[in-house]
Amino acid sequence: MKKVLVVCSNGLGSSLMLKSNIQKVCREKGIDATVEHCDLGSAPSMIQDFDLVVTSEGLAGELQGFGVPVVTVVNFISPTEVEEKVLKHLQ
Amino acid sequence: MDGIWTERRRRLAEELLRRTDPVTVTRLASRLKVSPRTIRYDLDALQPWFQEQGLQLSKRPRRGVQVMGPEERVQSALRQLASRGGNPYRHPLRPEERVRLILAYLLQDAQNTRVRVQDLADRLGVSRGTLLSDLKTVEEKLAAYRIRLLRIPGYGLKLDADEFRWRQAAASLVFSELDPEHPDRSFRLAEAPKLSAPETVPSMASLLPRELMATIEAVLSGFDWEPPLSDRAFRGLAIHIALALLRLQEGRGVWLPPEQLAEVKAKGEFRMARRLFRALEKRLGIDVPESEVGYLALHLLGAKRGPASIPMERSPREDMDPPLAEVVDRMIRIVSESFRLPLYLDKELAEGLIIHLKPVLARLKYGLPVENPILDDIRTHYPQIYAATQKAVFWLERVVGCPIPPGEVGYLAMHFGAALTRVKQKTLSSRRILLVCASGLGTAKLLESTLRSELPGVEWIGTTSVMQVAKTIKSRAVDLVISTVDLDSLVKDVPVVRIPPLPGRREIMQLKEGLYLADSLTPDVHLVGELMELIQRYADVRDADCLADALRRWLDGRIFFQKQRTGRVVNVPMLDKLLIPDNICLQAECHTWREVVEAGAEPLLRQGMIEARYVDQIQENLIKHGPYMVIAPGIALLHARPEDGVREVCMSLLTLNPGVPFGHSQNDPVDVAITFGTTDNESHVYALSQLMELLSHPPSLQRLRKATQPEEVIEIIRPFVRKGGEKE
Repeated sequence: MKKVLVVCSNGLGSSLMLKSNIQKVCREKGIDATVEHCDLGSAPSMIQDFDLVVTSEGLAGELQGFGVPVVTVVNFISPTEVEEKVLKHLQ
Repeated sequence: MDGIWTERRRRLAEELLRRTDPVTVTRLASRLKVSPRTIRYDLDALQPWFQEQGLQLSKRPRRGVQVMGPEERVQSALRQLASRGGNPYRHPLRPEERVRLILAYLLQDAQNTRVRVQDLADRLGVSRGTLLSDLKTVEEKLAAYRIRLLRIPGYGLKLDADEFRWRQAAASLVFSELDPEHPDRSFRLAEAPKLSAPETVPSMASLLPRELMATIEAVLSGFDWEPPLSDRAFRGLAIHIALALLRLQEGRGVWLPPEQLAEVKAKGEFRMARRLFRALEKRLGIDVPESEVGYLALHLLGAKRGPASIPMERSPREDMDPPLAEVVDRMIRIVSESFRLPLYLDKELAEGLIIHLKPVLARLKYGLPVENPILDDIRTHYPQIYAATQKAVFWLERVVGCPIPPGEVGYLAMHFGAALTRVKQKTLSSRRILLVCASGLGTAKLLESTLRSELPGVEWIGTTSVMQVAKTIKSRAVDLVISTVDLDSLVKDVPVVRIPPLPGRREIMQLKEGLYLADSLTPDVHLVGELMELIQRYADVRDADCLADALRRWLDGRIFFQKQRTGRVVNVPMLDKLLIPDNICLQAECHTWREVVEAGAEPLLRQGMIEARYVDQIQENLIKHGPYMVIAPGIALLHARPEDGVREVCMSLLTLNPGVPFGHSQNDPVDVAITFGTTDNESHVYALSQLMELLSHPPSLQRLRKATQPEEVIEIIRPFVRKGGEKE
């Protein structure tokens, strides 16, 4: 089972939205994955335990270099974008 | 020096100290009912003591003896004498002593002969007025046994009591004369030292012959009591049996209504009582009627059992009527809530209460009174515990359908008090706690001070950030980490308890639960092992590793409590509770993103759900971090952090016509702005996930964009509220 970390600057709004979105898509596609969300400050300490980081373009730079792939999403509520960008990392 | 003292010499010294004129040895001898020679010996023996007190004992022929010296010396000598304990004859009796003696006197005599108020007053050495006011207290005491004190003009006092009530009152009076908390008195009556009471009003206890008590106590000790009798119960039984035998000799048997006797005969306690009396009948050569056996069985039903801390073979819950376990559970919850401590985790409390309540219910049912000599102490020293217990008792009263006397409440309060101490100790003692807070400094400080007041007695190592936590744990001895974020991977050897940055009552309670459990369950390797062994004894396990893993996870869940979904839904608002018509503004016209933020926040600000600084903070975040809040084409999710000035969870919807650019490379312009505030990391999750469902459903989003009336929006929201609520 893969573990996904969704990061946004506050860990309250967009990351939560995106997390729900990814969870929903995974459920529909029958993919078993754990999705957690957090704020940018907490991310570095948590990142090592995850297989994939998903975030917005603005924050991607700060989350690279931890040895975990980082995927950026423009539309946080679009199932299509999640299917295209995130799912291939979870199979 | 202490070796000189006898009761007679004490009285002699006091007599001399109180007199201002000389008194002859002959007179002293007649007062103390000894020979003049004894008095002379006593005076010689006392001489050094008087000198030590700075006083002089002068003896002059024919005039007599007299103590000479300054008044303050005399007073201090008298105080010293008083501290040696005294003879109630000389010292004025305390009111409660008088009441006890009056009760003893009335119970012994006022059933068959008349007792005159003046006689009583004379015997106690008090005025008629004092005695009359004492009688009021006596009447109240007797009323507890449903005995009436009749004052018949021209005749005197008489007791209106049948044998059943008389026995109850007499037994409890004997009991109170022999205070079991008094260390110098053995709880066995046969060994108890003689009590000092005025000769004219013998105490109730002195009526019980020692040989008889010794026989009864020998028989009682020979029985196998399961569960064991408490000291009080042992003594209570001995007294009841002795009174029964004495009263039978006087031809005063007890009578029970036939239906009550039949009911009691069906119980195990009746068989026990019969065995007890059989053993005594053999030894004493007497014959005990069945009603007496029934009476003793009633007493056994209401008797307290021994300390619950002795582990029992069988859990008391097993053979209990289910309602009692439920009643206890409910009572424990009520008291837990009052103290905000998880008393329900303390097994000893539930077990102790169940054992305790069984005789309580029997006492209530058969109208047996309860003696609680320390009720006043409990009320004075533990008023909060008593009050909380009373709250729990209101509920018990509803179940049993009759009022519960304060004496019983007092005993229950003692159970709760003991559990409070245990839970507090287990929860808080010698814990070194590190707080990890990912939020800003303000929240961390507020959280820390909240926790400090909620968890007194723990050692706070301090507050640290997520980045620093591993380092801090390495350099300092940490027993427990309390964290506002998930530290799963970071902290390996120390238990971590999660808590929201602004914890509510429920979270605090859960934290305490976690602390309590963390103590006993942290090294749960053993626990999992034990559980596995137990399971494997009765079941074939297909995949032992998987099961062990699942058990470990389940235990972890109990220790590091996570989101309690069912419990939480109550507090967490759904989308329709937040997006009310007042918070919906449609087809608005704004020129800049700043205006959008202000317009979106306006209804929340107006209702006092957020503070003005929250709006500033949103704008600042947008400047600092760029337009990251534009989460999808045309959609902005505007918010800051709880500590930036959120008073309650809230949300507003603003649609814009035309759209306003926020500076996002792909998602501009924004025509749907959602502004929200949340008080912690979780209170908004349901509403937000329902909103996500709505926004990712193109037809609904389309309708939302076009809507002109708030009511339309409410309609659009409705299906998503139900859907989302069920899912999460």
